[in-house]
Amino acid sequence: MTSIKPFQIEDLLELNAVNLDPLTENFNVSFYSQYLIDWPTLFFKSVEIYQDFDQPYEISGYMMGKAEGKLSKLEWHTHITAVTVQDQYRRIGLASYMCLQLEQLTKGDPYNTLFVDLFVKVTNSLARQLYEKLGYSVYRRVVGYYGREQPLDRNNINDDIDAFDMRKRLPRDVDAKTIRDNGDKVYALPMEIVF
Amino acid sequence: MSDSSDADNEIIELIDKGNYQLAQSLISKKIKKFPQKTLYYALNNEILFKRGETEQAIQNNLKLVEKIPNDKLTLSTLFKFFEAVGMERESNLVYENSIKRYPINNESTILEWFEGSISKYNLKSFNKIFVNLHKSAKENRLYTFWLAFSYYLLIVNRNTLKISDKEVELYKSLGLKIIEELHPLVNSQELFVYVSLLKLSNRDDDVTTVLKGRSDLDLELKLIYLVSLESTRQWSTLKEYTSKLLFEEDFNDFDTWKLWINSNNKLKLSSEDLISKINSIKPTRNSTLSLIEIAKAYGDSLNQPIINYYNRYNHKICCFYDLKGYLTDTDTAEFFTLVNNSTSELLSSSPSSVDDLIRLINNQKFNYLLSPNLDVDSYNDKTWKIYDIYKDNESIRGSEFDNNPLSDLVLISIIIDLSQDSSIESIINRITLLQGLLEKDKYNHKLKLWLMKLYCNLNTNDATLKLYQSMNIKMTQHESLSHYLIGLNPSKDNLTELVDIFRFYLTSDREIQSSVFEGFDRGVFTKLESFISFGKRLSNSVSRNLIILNVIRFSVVLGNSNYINYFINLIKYQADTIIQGEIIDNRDIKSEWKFGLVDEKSKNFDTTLLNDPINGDQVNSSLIRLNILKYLIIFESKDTTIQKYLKLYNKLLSSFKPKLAFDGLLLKLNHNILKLFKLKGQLNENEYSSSLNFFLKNFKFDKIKTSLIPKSYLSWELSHNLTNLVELVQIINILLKVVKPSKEIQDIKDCTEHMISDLKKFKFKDLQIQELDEIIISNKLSDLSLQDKGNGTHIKGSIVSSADTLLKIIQNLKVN
Repeated sequence: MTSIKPFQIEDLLELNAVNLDPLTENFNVSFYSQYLIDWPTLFFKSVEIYQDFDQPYEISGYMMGKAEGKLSKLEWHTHITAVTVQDQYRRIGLASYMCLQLEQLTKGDPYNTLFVDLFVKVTNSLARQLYEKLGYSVYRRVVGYYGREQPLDRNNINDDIDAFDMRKRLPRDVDAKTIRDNGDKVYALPMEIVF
Repeated sequence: MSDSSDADNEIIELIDKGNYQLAQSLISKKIKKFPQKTLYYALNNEILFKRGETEQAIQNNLKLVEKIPNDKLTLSTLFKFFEAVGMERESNLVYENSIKRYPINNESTILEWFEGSISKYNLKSFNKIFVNLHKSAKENRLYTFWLAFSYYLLIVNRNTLKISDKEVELYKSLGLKIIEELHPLVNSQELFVYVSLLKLSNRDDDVTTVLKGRSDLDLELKLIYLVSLESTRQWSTLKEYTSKLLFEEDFNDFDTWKLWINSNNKLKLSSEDLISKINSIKPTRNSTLSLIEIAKAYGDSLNQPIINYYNRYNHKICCFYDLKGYLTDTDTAEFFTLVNNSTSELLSSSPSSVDDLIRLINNQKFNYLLSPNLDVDSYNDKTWKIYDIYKDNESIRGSEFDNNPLSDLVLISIIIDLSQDSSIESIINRITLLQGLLEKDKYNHKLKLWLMKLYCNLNTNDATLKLYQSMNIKMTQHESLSHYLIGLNPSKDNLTELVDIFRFYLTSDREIQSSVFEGFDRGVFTKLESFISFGKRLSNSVSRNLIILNVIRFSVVLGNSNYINYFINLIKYQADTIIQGEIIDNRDIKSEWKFGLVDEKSKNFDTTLLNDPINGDQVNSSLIRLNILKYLIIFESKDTTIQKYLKLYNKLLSSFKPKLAFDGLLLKLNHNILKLFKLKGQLNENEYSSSLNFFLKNFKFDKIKTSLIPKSYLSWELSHNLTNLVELVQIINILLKVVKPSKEIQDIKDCTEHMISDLKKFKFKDLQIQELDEIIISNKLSDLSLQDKGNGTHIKGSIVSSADTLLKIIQNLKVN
């Protein structure tokens, strides 16, 4: 019984069941607050009715998104920074639903972006499949995206630290100019994907 | 931002670095050259304050304020000074007087006033500042909304701010009036402030009028609109709007589903129509649950829709959580039979899939919840039977980082057992079980939280810290979870660890304050209430104060001088807030219990189970204040301040009920020692001898050992008590440095020396090992089950290491 509510900074104090997940990153306060200030409507949470401890509800997951890039360069887009779900509420399509909600929020006014994108580890085939089901495709492989050092050679691929930049075009991109076939064969460096 | 010269900045820098003498000589030269410039007098007083001459600094600065300075740097210096000494009224007067005297072009001064005042999160101050700002820049639309929003904040916090009904009414009308002068509203943030004030004025009809038909409603406004439509009983509009959200905009939101059902019901539409509508769309979890809601709203039996939902989703972990709330509203006999039959069938069919495992887990939870007379033994037997079936089944795991669902099920039985027997022996037994589970489920945070909780109850601080570190706890998580480290023993490494955790607060303080300012500046009103509340919650919290206290305590016990000055200055600066302000508890004591079965009606779980030492009554605001006062007194040199703090200490102590007898005794011993050393010249003969006698009579090993030594040598209480005892000895050492020798002081030294000597003879480590070995033998625990399972935890090793840490400190103890 999921409801969608706006994320508030105090939710960080109620988020352990979600954020103690080893793959979910915990950022400093200013990172979250910057998203809340810059893109207040694109940061929301999913909540469940929960009786224990007289809680008003239990946070089952959240979506942190933003919109950025230049329209003139066909880069004006929605970016999924984080989408995560508590282990008790997984495999019920909640992450997909939140991705669709974000799409819904940005495909029209006031954002009206060209596409949605996100990064997944090259080795995370489960996530890749999930996003492909939602209509995403690989646009490019970002070499060394998760590495500690700034890579210089775009051909030096490494499954452990490379990411796929996956995109889904939105209605504004009528001619499908922001996506491509065989994107996994196109390599880019992290410094080349800054908007 | 301010009109200071390089030379002025150099003086400020010297003061910040503590180079007061050079700063003062430069200030003297400046005063001779520019006798009218108020900044140099303010800086001089700043030095007086930092040198402990607080009273003189206050008097001087009050006179300076009367001169109504206008220079921004003087204003901010005076403002910060009065804030630091707890004179908030005067701090605001610094700016108020200046603005009144110089009413032209003072917008930037008022903005600096606001920026400086954010750290206190004082909503009344914000409002006062915004009133001035609005007056100063009437044409500024954004500032008008700041002021209107500050009225909103005052009203929603009316109880804590003690705002009268009359004031509330005034604020509502003022807030609405200044916004209505700006109509039409141009964006959703402006709409948010306006409709929030309308709602506070119970004008939900107007809220719906304002929001109706708008296509640009963001999530906040959508939710406000929905609630207002319901409260004003506009059922047709609500039905129309919820239908649009659910069926046209794919807003699959359960609260919206409930409103859709409610509005249809109020409009007398039949439940069949609703069911038929739901059945005509692709089923989702929310829509399937809505069928139960329809039955509930129309007074029909919930049985069939519950069973339908169960049949569809019983292989999902959320099934139990989703249905639990409905099971109290219906006759569950049929459902209970269904669940039990399902378990029997599954168990007789050699289950092996993850779906079947999750069915069995959900069934066990339903069984626990619904059994009229739960037979705990047979419940646990069934749990372990399921565990045995699946324990070696690798296919039930998802990806490497997914939790093993089996762990949750077993954890429930382990906690049931612990609720019946939380003896040290039982804890050690359960630690070995949990360690075994963690070996196969190495990222499961619930297992780790429970292991930390159990280790906290033993003298095994190494194990707790290693688990804490293995969870990669960062940033805000320290605020909610660092209480699991409360049992750490003093050591150089642990001290460094705590200081590192404290760095989070230093960073977050600045980050939140700038977020509040930026939030106002960008007009993001939907997030500001929480920003402000978050800042307040973190600025004087239980966890933050516990970290500070433990850093000081470890420094005192270890005789480590690296951090003590910094942290003592910190508590001096925040003394009034900590001692008199609200200490907010953000500790997360819920995450470890999140498996859906903990509520007050439950008979077999004790949620206060093993609450000490990590939370509950053991650590509360009074204990924090008493310890803060203790350190403030030790490191204070002004007699009047010491008297004030001792009076407060005495007052708090008289009403404080310590959880442990030894804590109570130590608080009294500390009190008497502080009086003897810090009030020596001010106590009359009777008071002095009474305090001295109390100390000499009670500070004896034989006298205290019954409360010092808990029932089990393995209990956390032993480390806790020994550390606090050592701290008292070290406090005496610190205080001995500043008193003249006398017969009485010699008596205290002799008594302390005896205590140290007896303490050194106390072979607690041997006694701990002996007790642990007896438990191992009587419980037939193999040495293997106590060994490190790859995450650095090992009961015996941790107990020995913890004891060695304390023994080393005790062996080095002496009277200076």
